[in-house]
Amino acid sequence: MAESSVAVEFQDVGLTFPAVAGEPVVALSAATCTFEPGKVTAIIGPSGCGKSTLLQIVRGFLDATRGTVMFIDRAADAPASRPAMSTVWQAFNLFPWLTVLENVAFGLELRGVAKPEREALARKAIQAVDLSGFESKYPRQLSGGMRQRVGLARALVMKPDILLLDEPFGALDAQTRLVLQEQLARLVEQSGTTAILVTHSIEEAILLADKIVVMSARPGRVVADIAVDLPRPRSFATTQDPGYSKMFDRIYTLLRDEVMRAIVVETGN
Amino acid sequence: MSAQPQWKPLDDPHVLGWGSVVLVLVLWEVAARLTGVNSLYLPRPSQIVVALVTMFATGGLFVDLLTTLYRIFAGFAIALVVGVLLGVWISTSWRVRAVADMWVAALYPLPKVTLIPLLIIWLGTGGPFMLTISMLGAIFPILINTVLGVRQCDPGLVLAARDLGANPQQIVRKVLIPSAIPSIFAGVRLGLGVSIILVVAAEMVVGKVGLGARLYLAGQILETEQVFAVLIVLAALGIAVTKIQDFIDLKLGRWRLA
Repeated sequence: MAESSVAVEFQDVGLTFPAVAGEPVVALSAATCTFEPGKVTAIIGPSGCGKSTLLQIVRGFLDATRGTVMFIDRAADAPASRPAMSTVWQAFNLFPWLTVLENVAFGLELRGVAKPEREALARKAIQAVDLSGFESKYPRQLSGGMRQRVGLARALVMKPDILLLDEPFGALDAQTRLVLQEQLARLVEQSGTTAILVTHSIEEAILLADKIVVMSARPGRVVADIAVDLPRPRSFATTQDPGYSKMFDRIYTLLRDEVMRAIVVETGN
Repeated sequence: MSAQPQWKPLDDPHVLGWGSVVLVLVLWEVAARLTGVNSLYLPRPSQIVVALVTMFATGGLFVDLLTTLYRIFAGFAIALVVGVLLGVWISTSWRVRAVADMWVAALYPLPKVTLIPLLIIWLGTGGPFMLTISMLGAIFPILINTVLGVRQCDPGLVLAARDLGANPQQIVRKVLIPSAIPSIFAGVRLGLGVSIILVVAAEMVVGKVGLGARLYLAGQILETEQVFAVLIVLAALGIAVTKIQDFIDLKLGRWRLA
């Protein structure tokens, strides 16, 4: 896979929804951060801090109301157009009336790829997420973990320059989550794609990311930008690394303050 | 518990359903013979069967059946296409919805039989009239259920399709309509039922051929066996339509049952 050299730079990016009734809603106040090509950047923060909003702005589904979003080709050191992106969703968002194979081939079909070719590509992607043999099943027949692997295959088969992961394992149980985190770490390392991961889980952020952006409680700002220099490939064993627990503590301390503030704001005390 | 589950007739829905029909017919036959009721009021099932066979063999009942079927399904087909397209349009454009809400609210509760006199003035009593009355019967349930189905579509699916590069037209064809199919099909069931009622009613009023016309005529000349024979054909039509719908529903809904 050709690796993309496009970075995303956020400068003071904010999004305020105009008031429908009462006050306007500030979804994101002023985020400054960069997403480097070929790297995995995790965004972590309390509920409602605008993590997912930030992802939707990168994707182009929402427009920032302040600040600038730039795409920069690092190889040419010049502005670039918005690169190809695919999203993996917390709620999976698989099409229930399509089989696993048809779900994974959906994006290629929209692109007009001929049926034999798109099915061959889809089968390869399904194999990459260890779901061979389930091609003709419907999403309803699969477990949560399997469904999200279909979601992952559906995104990866598009060969995106940037993979967007919106709390991809948020709806899964703890054990399934562990296995999938390892699998995702492997797939992302292999593909060399740029990835942006929105998560609630410190563990997930450290296991998967090269860099962790910590956000404040609503309205969201970036409070820390932490490089993760733990060796790869990472796995569950990484959690035994002394560097891991130091990093976990640091992020947890930052987050705890922000979560406390979020709770105070929500209860109005 | 025995290893081989044994067949219990009274636990089989088919046996219960068909059995009740046979039982009623037998009781009817026996009661009619015993009481000697005048067949002008209540013919015996055996007499009705004879009338039915004769009407099919020599009386052109088959032509009446085909004519009625054609009228129902031609109008229904138009209603299906127009209803689904209009329903999708209404649910994807708030301006169209604002206009349509008004008209649907006014026309949907209106009993469609009340339109028969006006339609006859405009269209006469021939093919165009029958097609229109059948179409009018089916279109509102289909349209309303399409709107409901599209509205219930998970926004996450639309977002996922956009993310994979779908343009608005592809979103309609590949996400909104497929996800609305169970609801559209509920509308099809209701709509087809109304179409059947309206076409037969219209035939009774103005038809020269068709099951409704035949029924009305038989009643006028007190051919009670023939009245029952036509009713049986209509009932059989109802059963056939319901079973075919069940079958299609099962095929389309495989993913829901899997």
